Parts: sequence; structure tokens; C-alpha cells
Amino acid sequence: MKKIALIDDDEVHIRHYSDALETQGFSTSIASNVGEALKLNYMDFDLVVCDLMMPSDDFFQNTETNRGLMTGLRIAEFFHSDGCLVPIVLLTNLNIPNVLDDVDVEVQKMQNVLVMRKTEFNPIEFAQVALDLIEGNRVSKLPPSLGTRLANSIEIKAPVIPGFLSVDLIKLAGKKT
Amino acid sequence: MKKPTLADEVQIERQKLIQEMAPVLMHEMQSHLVNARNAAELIKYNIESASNLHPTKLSIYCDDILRSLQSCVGTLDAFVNLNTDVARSRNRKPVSMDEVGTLLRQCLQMFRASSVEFELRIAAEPKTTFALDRRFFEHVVLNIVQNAAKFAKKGTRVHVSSKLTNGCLNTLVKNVVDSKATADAHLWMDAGYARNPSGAGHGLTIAKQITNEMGGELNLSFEPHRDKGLSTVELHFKVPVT
Repeated sequence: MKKIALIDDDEVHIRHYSDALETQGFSTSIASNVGEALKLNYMDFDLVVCDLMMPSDDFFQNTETNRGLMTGLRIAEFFHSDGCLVPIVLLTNLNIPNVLDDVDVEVQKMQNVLVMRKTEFNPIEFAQVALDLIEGNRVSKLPPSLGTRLANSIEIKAPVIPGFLSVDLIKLAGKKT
Repeated sequence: MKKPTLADEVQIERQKLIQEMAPVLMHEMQSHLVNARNAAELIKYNIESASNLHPTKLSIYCDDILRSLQSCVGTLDAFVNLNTDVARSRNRKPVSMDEVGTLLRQCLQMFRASSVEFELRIAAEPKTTFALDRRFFEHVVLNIVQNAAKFAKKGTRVHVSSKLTNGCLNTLVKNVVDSKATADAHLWMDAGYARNPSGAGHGLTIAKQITNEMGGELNLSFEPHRDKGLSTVELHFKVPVT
């Protein structure tokens, strides 16, 4: 059974994802704050789904002044810091252009990290995306805005067709080291 | 060119607040709507796939939708009323002294790179809750703490305390400054000086105006020391709570 870690301080949102993923045969573990997230044994998971914007609870420097806008990125850095590149999906509704630009810059420097908008998938649809990400399958019919972000964060081997993007996610779902 | 009046500046400050708050409120509303949509999608999926969705689970999803929509309506209401006088009373949300402490701590952390130390004291009434406009409170606190960080003598300690007294939340920011700065500080509260070209005190004047709009008071006092050319400055920020 594929295991997915869900990290989000919005308990309603995370419960919906957990319900949907478990309906589709995944096993999920939930962390509702940074403290719980950092205690997760992330090497046990096939995929980590994390909210981008959460209170950092003083666990990370430089996020307090950004009001927790980048907390998800800091968690991703922490998980990847020992070379275990478990795929991480950062979910967000963030709509502040300057901050989004900063996030893009940081994500481009990272491996196996994707940013997805919460509006673009419902939890049931996300279950299929999660499966594709874990199994390294092609994810098709991605919304254009997500396609742009994917193009920035992973290697694209298929031509980009506006509104109907096909992306090779093998690099994203690469083997754990 | 006509010199802006204090009313003009307050209006500009309000516009800035709206610009700052708009993306935050939009984000909040979007989160609520996404939760409502997700709950509805889960119900739809379970019906379509003829799964045996337990009635309790169905009830929880319906509650999620209702609560999310209610929150969304509340956020939209706050947004619509952001620039009206009504907003001042409607934006009052229940907070506890614990939350006031967290808010103050967050404000102080923003200035931890300054050349002064901060000491924070919160009255030990963590469970007492009261209605307060957090946005305005934060705005004023940020302003007075910023002034303290800016003008306090290097290497000294800035004392920040907050407590409930007689239906008011009293916040005190106390620091030591050079006497020359004390004289300037005295002028901060004067609207005329507040708009001088250097901009000194501009923010504090606006903070005072916002405090007045909250029905509170923002007062400055200073006590010259007998020697060393130093003075102690105290900023009293008092706001009524219910």
C-alpha cells in the first residue's frame, strides 16, 4: 500500500484529502503543524503533500517575518537535507504575486518538489495525480497554470500544448536514494 | 502643491490597509470555498460510486460545507466593510491574553535584528477573552515598537508589557533614549511636526489616529534622567475591550 504524508494546518482540508486518498487505496498519515511534520519519518512515505503556507511555530528562521508564507518550502528542504528525495507536493491558494515569484525561484533550485494550486484539483482527482507521481506515470490534462509550474520545476520531455500538457514525471518520482 | 491634511493621510493609510488586506482576505475566502467544494465533491463521488458512506460522515461533510460557506460570508463581509466606520466594531473578534502575547511576540520578532533587546511581559490571564480589532491593534503595536527599536539607545532594553485593566487593554512600551531624541519624541505626537520633510513621527501620528478610531488613547511621556543626558520614554497604548 502506498503511503502518503499529509501536512496542513487546515484540518478540514487535510481530512478531505485523507478521506479521498484512503478511498483510493492509499495509506495516509496526518501532521497538522510543523512540529508534528518534523517528527514524521519521511523516508517511510512514497509522497509528501504539504501546505505551502503554515505558521512556522518558530521552527524555522526567516519564515516568521514572512508570516509563514514559505513554511512548506522549509519543510521540503528539511526532508531533502539528508539526500532522501521523497517527492513533495506543495499545495497552495497563495495569490500574492511577489511571494509566488519568490516561491518559484526557490522551487526551481529544488529537486522533486512541485507546487500545485488547491483550486486545480479536488481530492478525488488529486488521488489519481498522486498515483501518477508515485508510479512515475505521465500526468496528462494538467491545467495550464500548473503546467507552467511543472515546466519550471521538472524536466519536460514532451511538447507543451497549452491547456493540455503532458509531462514526463520520471525525474520527479525518481528512486529514493 | 497643497499640503496633505491629517485626514488625507489617514485616508491614504486606510487605502494602504485595504491594499495589504485584500490579498489576505481573498486567500482566506478561497480556502473556505475550496473546502466547501472538496466536501461537495466527496459527497458526489460517494453517491456516484454507490459506496456506503456512513450517515455520520455525510453529516460531517455537510457541516464542512456549511461552516466553510459561513466563514466565506464572514470574510466577504469583513472585506466589504474594511473601509467603513462599521468595520471597526464588526472587525472585533474574541481574543485571549495568550493571543495578545503571541501577537506582541510576533511584532517584537520583526525587530530582533535591531541593536536593542526586548523584554515582554503579559498579564497572567491567559483564558480571559475579549473583543478586539486585531488588525488595528497590530498596526499600532508595530508602529510603536518600531519607534522604540529605532530611537532607543543602542544596547539598552525595551520593555513591552500588556495587561487588562478596567475594561481596557493597556500596552506599554518603555525605553531609554538620548535626551535630544526625547525632545524629538515629544514632537512625534504633534501633527504639524509629524509631516515635516524628514517624515519623523508620521507613522506614530497615523497610529494615534487609528487608536482614536478604536476609541482608545495613545500617549507619550518622558522622564529625563538626572545625569548622562538620557531619558526614559513611555508609550501608553490603551484600547477599550468588551
